[in-house]
Amino acid sequence: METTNSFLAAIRSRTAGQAWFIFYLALAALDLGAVSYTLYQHHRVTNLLDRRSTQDEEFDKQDRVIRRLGSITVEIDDIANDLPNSRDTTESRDRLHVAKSAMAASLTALHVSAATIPADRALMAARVDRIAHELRIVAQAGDDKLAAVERGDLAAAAAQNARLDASNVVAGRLLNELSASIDQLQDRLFAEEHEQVELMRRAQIMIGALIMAIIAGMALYGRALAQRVLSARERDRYVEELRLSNGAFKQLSRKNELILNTAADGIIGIDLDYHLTFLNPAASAMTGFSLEELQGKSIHEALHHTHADGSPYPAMSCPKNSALRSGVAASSSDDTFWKKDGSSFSVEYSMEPMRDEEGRTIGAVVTFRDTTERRAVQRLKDEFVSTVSHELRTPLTSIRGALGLLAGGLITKSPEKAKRMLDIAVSNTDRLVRLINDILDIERIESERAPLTKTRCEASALLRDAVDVMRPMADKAGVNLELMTAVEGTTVWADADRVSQTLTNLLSNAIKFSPSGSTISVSASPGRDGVVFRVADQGRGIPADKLESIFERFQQVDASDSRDKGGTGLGLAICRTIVRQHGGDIRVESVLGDGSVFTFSLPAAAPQQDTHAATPGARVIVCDDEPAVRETLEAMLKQHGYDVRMASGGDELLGLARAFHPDVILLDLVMPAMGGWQAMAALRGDPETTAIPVVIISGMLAQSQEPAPFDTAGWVSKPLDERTLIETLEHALGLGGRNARIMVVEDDFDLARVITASFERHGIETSHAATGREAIEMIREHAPDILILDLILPELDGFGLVEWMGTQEHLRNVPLIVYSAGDTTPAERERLKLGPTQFLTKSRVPPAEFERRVVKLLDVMTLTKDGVAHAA
Amino acid sequence: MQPERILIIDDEEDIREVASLTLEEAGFEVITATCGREGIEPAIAEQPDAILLDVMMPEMDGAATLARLQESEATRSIPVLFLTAKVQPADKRCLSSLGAVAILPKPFDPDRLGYDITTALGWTAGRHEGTAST
Repeated sequence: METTNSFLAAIRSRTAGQAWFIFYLALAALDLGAVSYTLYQHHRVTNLLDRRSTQDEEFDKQDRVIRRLGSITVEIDDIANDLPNSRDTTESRDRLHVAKSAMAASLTALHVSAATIPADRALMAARVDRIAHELRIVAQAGDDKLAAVERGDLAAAAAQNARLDASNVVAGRLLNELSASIDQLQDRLFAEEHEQVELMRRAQIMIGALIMAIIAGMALYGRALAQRVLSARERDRYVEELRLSNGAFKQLSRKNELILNTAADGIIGIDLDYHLTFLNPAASAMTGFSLEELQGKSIHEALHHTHADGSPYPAMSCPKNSALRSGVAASSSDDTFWKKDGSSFSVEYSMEPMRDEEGRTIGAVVTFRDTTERRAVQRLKDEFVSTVSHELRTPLTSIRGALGLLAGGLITKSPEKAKRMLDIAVSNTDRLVRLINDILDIERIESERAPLTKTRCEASALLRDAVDVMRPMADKAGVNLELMTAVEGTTVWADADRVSQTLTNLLSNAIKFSPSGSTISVSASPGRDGVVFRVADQGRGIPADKLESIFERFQQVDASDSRDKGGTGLGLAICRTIVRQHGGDIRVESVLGDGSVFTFSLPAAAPQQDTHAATPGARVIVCDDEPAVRETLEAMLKQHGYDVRMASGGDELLGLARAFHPDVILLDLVMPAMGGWQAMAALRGDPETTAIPVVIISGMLAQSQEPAPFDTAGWVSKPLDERTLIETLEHALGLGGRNARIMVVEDDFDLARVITASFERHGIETSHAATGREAIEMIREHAPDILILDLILPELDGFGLVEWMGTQEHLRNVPLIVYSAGDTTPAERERLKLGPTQFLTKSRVPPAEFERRVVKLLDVMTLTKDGVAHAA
Repeated sequence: MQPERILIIDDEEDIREVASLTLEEAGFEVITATCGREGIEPAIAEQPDAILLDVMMPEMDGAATLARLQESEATRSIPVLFLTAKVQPADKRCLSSLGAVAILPKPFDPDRLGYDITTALGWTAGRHEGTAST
């Protein structure tokens, strides 16, 4: 079986095939030889048989002749014996003569017959001759006896009789011998013949065996051949499958690589000896090491060698160590990794053993995250809580103490002291209230639960309002407020209420620290970084070492200020938060004893645009229960080129919104039957109207409705200011009061998922189409703000999609990012033009960089739509 | 019999006033100082029986003041009690190792402040006329 197998195995190869062919030819030749030999043998046997039948006749004849000769000798002997009894010898002579003639005839016949036997011809002839000789002696002796008898010589007759008897005996012996010899010969011939037949039989067996061998060989060879053919087909199929799976594998590994490269967490692969085998880009960025620098090095020695306090961290005591040996996961939420430059950072890591198919641990994956920032935030938060607790307890201590003394009746004897305690309680209660307000305010602003409602604001108007508010306090303190007129048309894109808050805070501070009779000047002027507001006092000034810290929470120049001046230590922190939220900056310059100058910058508003051109025929529904407001708004909006419809209540609005498909809705909050928020809930609940931006028109300030139950596209306070209204409407129409919308057209679902997820992290609404046709359907529903396009797509490719979008009026200028696998030719680029178009190649622009570029592009668009002019 | 004399060191004027009145009503004699630096001198000169020390003060805070008091031969033996609004567990842990006799929280109950001080110091409550057993 084994040899068969190896034989089969051998003939599978081409050279073995040739060997097999030669072997087969040899076998066939052998077979032909055997057949020829058999035929020859057959011929011989046939000849033998043929000859034997004639020989057998001869043998029979000889046998008969020999027996005749025997009887003739007996006759002669009888004649001779009878001689003495007859007187007349004539009869005996005649009888002898007849016998002699018969003997001669028989001898001749024997001679002739013996000559026909090819084998032992000479021997036979010799024997026949000897018999003839003896018989002639017998015949002669008979003759002589006869003659002697006739002569009457009895003695001679007796001698002749003896001679005759002797020869007779010899002849009888010789005849017997010949007969035996003939029998022998016959036997020998038969044996010879038998041998020939046996040879023929063997040859036939051999032929049979050879034929069997050939047939078997052919069967085996055929099987091997068939297998070879099958295996060749199998191999072709396997190669095809391999080619396919290789492609899939490449795609999969590209996806996996993308995922690893995109992961924000550091990912490190180690082998069983803790030696680094893999490092993803995030890990590389965090540690400063490249894979080449760390490959084959121990992870502990490279990144984990020292505790945060600087003491050495032996690998043996590291939880990672035991983890890999015992095959269980290890993690730490508070640990330290060391960078290439020798600095360290706080990490949270986890190590998961990596197992092969058999479940053997072959290494581990260490995932880690830089927690420095989170830790710092946590520390700040803890500090803030601790500080707030302290700041609240301080006035409470005075209140509690003073009230406790009064309640305990301890100071009833001294009305002055009691009055003093009451004063302390009251003033500290005021301080506590201010503190709580400011804490809540700063929290609200910083947590962005109160988004800025930016509008175009005249700088001079903002200054005038703030000065008007603070005038009474300044008058009381005997301080002059000097308002320098701002350059005409100096406008900022800002939240007016917040800017007012900042200005009044700064003015309030300035008044508190200004001696009576001094002057505070307030101004605004266009500067390099937008518009610069300035509040300058002639107060006591701020020590140089406090210039930075006064903007921190609860940092005052003098702790007693909070009691004396009614400050909370949060005013300037609030100012800085507001200014920074607008993208500006606040700073202070001061000379001790001479006064301080606070300046802050806000982004300038873009030059006034022609509103007719900006929103040609945009559709607006105004929903307000007051006819007067509706009329005013209708006139105002029509004058600006809007297509306006009116609704007097929530129900009417809902029906109209579904029928009219407005671009924006102006909605009053306080209405009978259905209130504004209720109407908005209904709008949001209906898929047809859910995306329509809504601008609130209300007698209340936006801030009074915190938090607003829905995202609004803007808020316009009554009484309505035409410019504010139009600007807010335009802003709402710009991005529709919604998040930016990106469409990813990519047939690779995994890549699409990675891209989509990365944008959703930025709060960007991202949709995905896998084919050009699907993209067209989706774009018909919602036009994207940016289109990210793969070129090779099923159904309709990227070129086709761009061509179609080029034919659509409202899609012609959609910004396009072509994110394709290969480079594009200039001719292809010419075909791929929509709005601003960028060409990024997948292999050259990694997803992280890709994401950054898209977000940047989106930022630029959003700012442009916001109407913010960039100071060039 | 001399009443026990207590030095209050606190930068908050209202709190100094309320605490002074509270302790005076409880039968102590009170001296006040407006900050840590200002408190060292009366501590040496007046040799109070105990010092009630605020923690959050500008320039020289309660911890630094306590260290200064412990450095000086003249003030080392005067027991110090923190009276502080820093009552978060983490804050308390920091303060407890500094060597003060007690940490009294703000706001305080004026009915109990005197009692808490005498208890903390091992004086017999109400023994305002007795001598300090330092």
